[in-house]
Amino acid sequence: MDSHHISSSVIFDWNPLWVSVVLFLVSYAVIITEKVNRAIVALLGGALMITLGVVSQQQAILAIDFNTLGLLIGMMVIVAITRRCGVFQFVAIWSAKRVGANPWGVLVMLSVVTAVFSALLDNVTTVLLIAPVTLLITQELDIHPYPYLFAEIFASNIGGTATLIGDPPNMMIGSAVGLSFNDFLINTAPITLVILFVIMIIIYFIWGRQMQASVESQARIMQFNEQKAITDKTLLKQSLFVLSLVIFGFIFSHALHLEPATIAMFGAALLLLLSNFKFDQEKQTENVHHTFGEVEWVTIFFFVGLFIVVHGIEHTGVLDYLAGWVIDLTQGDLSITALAILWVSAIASALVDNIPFVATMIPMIKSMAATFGGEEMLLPLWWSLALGACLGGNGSLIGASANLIVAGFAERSGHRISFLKFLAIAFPLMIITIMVASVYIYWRYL
Amino acid sequence: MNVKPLMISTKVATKGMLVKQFFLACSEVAVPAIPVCNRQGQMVGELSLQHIIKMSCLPDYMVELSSVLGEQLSCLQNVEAKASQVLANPVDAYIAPVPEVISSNSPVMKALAIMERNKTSYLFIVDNGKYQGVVTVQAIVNWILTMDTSKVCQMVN
Repeated sequence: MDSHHISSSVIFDWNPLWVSVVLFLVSYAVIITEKVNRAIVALLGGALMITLGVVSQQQAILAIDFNTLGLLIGMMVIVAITRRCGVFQFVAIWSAKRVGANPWGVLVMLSVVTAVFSALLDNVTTVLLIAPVTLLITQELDIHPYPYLFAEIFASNIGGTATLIGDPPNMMIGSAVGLSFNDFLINTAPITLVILFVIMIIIYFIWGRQMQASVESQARIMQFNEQKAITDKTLLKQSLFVLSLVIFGFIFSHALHLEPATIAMFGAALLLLLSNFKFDQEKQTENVHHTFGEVEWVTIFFFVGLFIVVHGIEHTGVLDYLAGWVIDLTQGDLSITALAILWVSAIASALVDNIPFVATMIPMIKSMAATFGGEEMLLPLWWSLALGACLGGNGSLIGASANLIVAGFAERSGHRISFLKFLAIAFPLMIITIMVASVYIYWRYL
Repeated sequence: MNVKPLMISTKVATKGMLVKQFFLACSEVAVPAIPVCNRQGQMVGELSLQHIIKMSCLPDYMVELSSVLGEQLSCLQNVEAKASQVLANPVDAYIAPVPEVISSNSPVMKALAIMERNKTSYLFIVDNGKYQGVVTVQAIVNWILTMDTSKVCQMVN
């Protein structure tokens, strides 16, 4: 590797390549151990990349993908306001009642609702809203909640795979490559439907066919008044209006010449305005402060630091070297490379946070363009990365934040989900989803 | 006016005490909580009725979705058996950390301000590290009602 072309002025004349590699590896190792908050580690890693001279401050700022950050923050604000009106709990209870509180029907309905919400909102928010409803329903049905929570974890990660806004890796890939909401809808959504169907069948054979509930317990669910879940009808209308407008904007973003971040931020600002219009200035400030407080700043600053850390190793040529190594391994075969990315992404995402993994893979895959005959030839690799990184989260309890949220809810209600018990069923099921995805990638793109 | 005259003397809880004994200790003097003390008489935590009720029979999801619940609930079955089980439990699992306390010389307004900040309706009184009793919003209200407000009322009228 030649690092002489790099215009870095690293402290003590150290080799910028090695400095960047050490900073990258140490940052990622500490992130994986989860001993220190991931935002602190990423920010510190990013700051050291600049302080030690691997990249300049200007280069670091340019490396931060504000389109991803804008999209994330915009959607977080919209979700923070929308969830207050209780619409998600309403839909969950309503769907359970539509199947007459039949245990298997409830599982399917809650899974479908989780998948749909996860495709449109972030997975963590979705499970935060659905898990309490699930625990209440299973308590009243006198059924163990584990199969339901298990199915919802899978549904949330599968649903998140379907759209640009469903999961942060998709936002990062979409922003970096210029893939639109519709591109994801056309390319990842169809296969997620198939995968969700397959998972539901498997869950039926594992747990579903044994599920039984008494007539009295089903009657208790039917007595639930889902209308009472709606706490603010005006806010409900405002939220649904803005959410529809934003989805419309995503679908027609190409014709509107708008980036997803602009659409999400516009929606967030509009919903903030609508939901605060009737209040005096003091109450408005309080509400806005409260809403901004619900934005996951840890994730946002994690992204900021990560973009700089990854740019550090990209700038020093490490990722080009790694890309070359991967191409050597796969002998420059697009099919093998795509499937390798799919499987490696899935296994890695089951074990570690998929965000840093995807952040590293994006520049690496970009640098393969010349080998495969241009950027447009890389599409199968991008879909492989998206499917692998998102679906891989199902492989273990630590594979995705949503999994841990569900586990936390289960534990607090006295139904602990053990890591190994989950792994024993989830990992093989995740492998099945990746096998289905492999067939899809091969059949459609290779 | 300081809190000393409004102070209610209570028993203290110790580790290993049963929930039933704790409930009786609170009911005797109509207080919502009592402190947990060690053998040296130092406060090591607190027990409150609300906390025990929440921890033993009100899961978070039920609280969050309380508005949608119907008239029939599974938890209403075998209430006696469940209650006797809770009453026979030791209090150890329900002990909360030592809360903010005040001294018996503190003014009533200070006590109310601390209660408001901590979103509680009672406050333990501790002098020189030794637990003295508890002051409650109810005790303060009772004291206000005993005041001779007739002159003020006549002026207002």
